[in-house]
Amino acid sequence: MEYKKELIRNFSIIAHIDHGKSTIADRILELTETIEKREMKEQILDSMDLERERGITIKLNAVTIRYNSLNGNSYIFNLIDTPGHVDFTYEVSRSLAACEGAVLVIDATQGIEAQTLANLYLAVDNDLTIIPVINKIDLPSARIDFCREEISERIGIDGSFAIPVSAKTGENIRKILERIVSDVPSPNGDNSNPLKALIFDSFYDSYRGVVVLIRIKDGCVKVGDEIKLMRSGVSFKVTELGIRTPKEVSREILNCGEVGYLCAQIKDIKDVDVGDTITLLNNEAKEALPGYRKINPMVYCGIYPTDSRKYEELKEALEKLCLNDSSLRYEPETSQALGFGFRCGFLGLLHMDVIQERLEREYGLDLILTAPSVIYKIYMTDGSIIELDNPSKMPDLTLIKHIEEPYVTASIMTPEEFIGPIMQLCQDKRGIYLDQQYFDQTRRVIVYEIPLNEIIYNFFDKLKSYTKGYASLDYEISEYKESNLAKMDILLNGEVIDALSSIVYKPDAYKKGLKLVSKLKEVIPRQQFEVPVQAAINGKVIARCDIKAVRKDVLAKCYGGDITRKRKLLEKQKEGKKRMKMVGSVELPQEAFMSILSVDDSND
Amino acid sequence: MKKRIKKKISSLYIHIPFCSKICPYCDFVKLIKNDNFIEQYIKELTKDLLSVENKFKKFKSIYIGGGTPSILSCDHLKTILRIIKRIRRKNAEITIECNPEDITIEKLKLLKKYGINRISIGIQSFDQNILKEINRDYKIDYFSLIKLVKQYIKNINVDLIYGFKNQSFNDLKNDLNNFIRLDISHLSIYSLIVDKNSIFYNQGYKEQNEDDSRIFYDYIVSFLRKNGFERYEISNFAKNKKYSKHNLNYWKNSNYLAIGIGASGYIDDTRYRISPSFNLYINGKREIEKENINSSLKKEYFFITNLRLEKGFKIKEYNKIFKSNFLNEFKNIIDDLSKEGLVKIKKGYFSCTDEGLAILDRILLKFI
Repeated sequence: MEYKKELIRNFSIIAHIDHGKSTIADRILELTETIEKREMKEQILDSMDLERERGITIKLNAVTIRYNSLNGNSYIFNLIDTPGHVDFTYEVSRSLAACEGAVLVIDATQGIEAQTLANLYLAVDNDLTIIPVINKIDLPSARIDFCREEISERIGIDGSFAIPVSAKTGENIRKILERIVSDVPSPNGDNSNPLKALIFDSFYDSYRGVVVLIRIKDGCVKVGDEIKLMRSGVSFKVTELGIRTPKEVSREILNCGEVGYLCAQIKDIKDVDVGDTITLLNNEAKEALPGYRKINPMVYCGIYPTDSRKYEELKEALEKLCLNDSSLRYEPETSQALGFGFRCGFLGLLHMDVIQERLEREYGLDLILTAPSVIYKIYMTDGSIIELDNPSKMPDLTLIKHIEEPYVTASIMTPEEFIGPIMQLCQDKRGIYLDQQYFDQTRRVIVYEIPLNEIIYNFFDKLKSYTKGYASLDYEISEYKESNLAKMDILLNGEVIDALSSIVYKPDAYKKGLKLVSKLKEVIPRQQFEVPVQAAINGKVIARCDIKAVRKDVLAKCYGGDITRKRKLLEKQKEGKKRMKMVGSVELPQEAFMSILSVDDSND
Repeated sequence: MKKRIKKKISSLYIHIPFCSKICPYCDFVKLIKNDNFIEQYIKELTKDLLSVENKFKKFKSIYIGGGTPSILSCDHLKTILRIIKRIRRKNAEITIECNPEDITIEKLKLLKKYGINRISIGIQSFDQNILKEINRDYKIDYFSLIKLVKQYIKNINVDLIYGFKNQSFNDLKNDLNNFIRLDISHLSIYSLIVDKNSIFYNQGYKEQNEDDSRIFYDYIVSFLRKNGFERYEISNFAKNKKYSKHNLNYWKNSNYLAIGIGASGYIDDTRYRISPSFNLYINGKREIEKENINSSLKKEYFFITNLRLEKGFKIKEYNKIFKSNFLNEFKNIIDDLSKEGLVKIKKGYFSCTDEGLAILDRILLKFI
C-alpha cells in the first residue's frame, strides 16, 4: 500500500447505547469488504463475550479499512471504536483525539440523548469534524425531521446535512463513507518531524508483551527505533509495527497520520498509559501531546474468595486481568470477617461488575464482594490527610478534624413531567441544585452536584424507576467537599463485622441503620440460635433487629418410599451452604455484603 | 425342573394412580379416574404381581397406596387381592388407602374377606371450609363411618393435614379433638407442603410460616402424648404400639419392592423409581430410573431415614453395617449437637430430641 497522507481519514463513531453504533460499524466493514459477510460475527468490534452480551463496548479497538471512493481515489480509513459508558470518559476522549472526524449516530425514534451529547462535546473539544447520521429510519416510529431540527438546535450543526440511514438494511451507508472522504480532513504533521504517537489503547500478549495501539500525530516510527514513553520516561526498542485490518498486517514503518499497533517487549502494562505520547529517544519531541490525564480508580471494594483456600487462584486471576487492564488496581487486604482478599479499585460500578463477572466466569471463582466505597479524604487533627478507600479502616473519631468526599456533576435529561420526582430524588441523595435547561420542547436537562457515594448507591436504578426509564444520566467528577460523615458498623451477635462497615451521612444514619439491619435480617437465613443484628456509630447502637433461631426445618412426609427425592433436596441445600461464608458463628450469604447497596433510603 | 430360589424382601408397595378428584396439594403420580384406563392398568399390574409372586418370597407387609385405591370397583379389587392373598405371610400387615367417600359395606366386606387388616383413611381435616379449599367438598359423618369400618377392620390410620392458609389454632384443636373422639390408634399428621407439581404451587399458595408451623407442631405432639399416643416418627403417632410396620420398614432404611407407575423401591443396593408414564406402562414397558447405592450413599440414606424415628438407631447396628465407630466418626458433630440439646444417646440408641426432630433437616446436613 503506497503511503499518501492526503488519502487517510481517521474517524470514530459516537452514539448512545443501543442507537446502533456497532451495527453501523459492521455495515461499513461489509461494504468495504474488509470482512466477508459470512465470516462476520455480529458486531465484530465488540470482541469480548461479555461486551457482546451486555451490548456495550468496554475495550477499544481500531480497524484499518480500504475504501474505493466514487471519486476514483482509494482511501485508507481508520475506524477507532470508543467505549459507550460514563465510567470510561477519559478513554473516549483519547480515542477521539486520535481522529479528525466523528460520525454522530442518532436514533431516529429516540432523538439525542444525554450520553451522546457528552461524547459529542468531547469530539468538539478535540476539533473533530462531525458527520451527523440519523439511524433506524426503517422503523415506522422514525422521526427524521424532528431529529434534523434537534441537530440544528442542540448541536448547532445544520440538521439538513444529516444523513438518514438504516444500519439494519444498509440503506445510505455509502453516503456516510463519501461524506467522510469529502468532509473529514486528512491528518496534519509530517514524516520528517520528531515522532509524536498518541497511545489510545493497549493490551497484553503473552508472546510480544504489551501491544500498544497508536495514532501517529507527527513524524514516523520504524521497526528497530529506540522509543521513549514521554510520561513514564521508560524506553524500549520497537520490535514490531503493523495495522489491523482487522487481521494484523505487520509493517516496517508507521507514517504520520496512520493508525496501527506497536510492540517493543514491554512487560508491564502500567508503563503504558492511555493518552501518553511516544517519541524517539534520539530525536525527542519538544513536548508531549496535550490532554494526558492520570486516571485513578473512583470506586473501591474488597474482593474475597468464598472458599479461603482459593486466595492464590484469585491473586493469579487478578494479575492476569491487570495485564490487559491498566485501570484495575488491587492490593492484598485482610478482613477479620472474610480472611485474606484484595482491595480493588475500579473506574466505576460498571467496570467493577465486569471484573467480577470475568473473575467468576473465566476463572471459575466464587467471590464475596464488599459494598463499593469511594475514596474519602480524612483530615487529621495532626494536619495529615488520609485517603480512605475502606470504611473499616476509618481512624478514631477523636483524631479526625473533618472528612471530605468526592462529588460529581450529574446531568439528567428527562421529559418534563418527571422533573418533580427527579428533584426529590436528588434532594434525598444530598444533591446541590446547579442548573436547569430546556433541551427541546418536551425535555429538560437538570444539573445537580451529588456525592459520588450516593450515585453508587442505587441512584441510577431509582432514577429509572422514577421516570419509567425515560431519564438518562451523565456525570463527571467535580471536586471534594466537606461532609458530615461517620462510620457505621454492623454487629452480628455482638461482634463488629468489618466487611459490613460503611460510611454514612450522619443525619441519615438512624434511618439507614434501621433499614440496613432489616435488610440483613431478610437476607441472612435463620441460624440455629437467635442472632441480634445491630448498627452502631462510635460504639453506640442506633438500630437493632434479631434474626430468629430456626424453629422448624423438616420435611413432614417421606413420600411413599421415594426417599431419593428427599436426599436430592438435602443435597441441594448443602450446595447452597457451600456458597455461604462462615463469619464468627454466623453463616452469611453473598448478598449480605451488598445489602447496603439495596437499602432503600427514600422517605417512605 | 430345578426349583428357582426366591428372593427375600419384606415389603411390597403397590401404586394405584387413579383419583375421582385431584387434591390441590398432591404431587403424587395420579390420573383422573377413567374406566377404560383402569381396566388396562389393572391388567398390567396383575402381570407385575404374578411376576413378583414368581420371584419373591412371601411379604411381611404390603401397602396399596395411591392415588386412590378405594375407587377401584369390587371386581378390580378382587383381581388384585386374590394374588395378594397368595404372596403374603400369615401375620403380614396389609394396608389399603381409602377415601372416606368411597367406603361402602360391600367394599369393607370384600377387603376383610381377602385379608386386608389395616386401612388408612384420608380425612385430612374435619373442617368443612378447609375441605372445600382442598377440593373435598363432601359432608360425611365420620363417627358412624369409623364405627362401620371398625366392624370389619380394626387397625385404622387417619391422615390429617395442618397449616392451611385460613386455619386458626382453634381449627387445629378442633381437628385433633375430633380425631380423639374417633378412638383410633394411629394418626399421620403432616404440615401442608406446597410441592412444585401441585395445583397449590401453581396458584401461588403460601405455606404456613415457620414460627406458626412450629407452634402447631408442638401443640400436636403434646396434645397427642397427653392422649396416650407415642410420636414414633416425625409425623406419625400410635397408641398401644400400633405402628405402621410397612412404613417403619422405609424408615429403617430396609429393602422394599414397588410396582405400578411412579412407585419407588429399594433392592440390591439400588433405589429405583418406575416411570410415571401411563402409556409406557400399559404397553408393557417398565422404564426404571435407578440410583446405585454405594456405601457413602447408603450412609446418607441411613441417617435420612432412621433419624426420623423418635427412637433413632442402634449405634451398634450402624457400626456393624458400616464397619465403623459412629461415636468416633462423628465425634465433633455429636458433641456440638448434644450441647445444643438436639440429639441424645440413650440405651445404645442415637436419636434426636424433640427440639432436634423439629429441625431435623439442619441436623442431617451435618451428617451427609
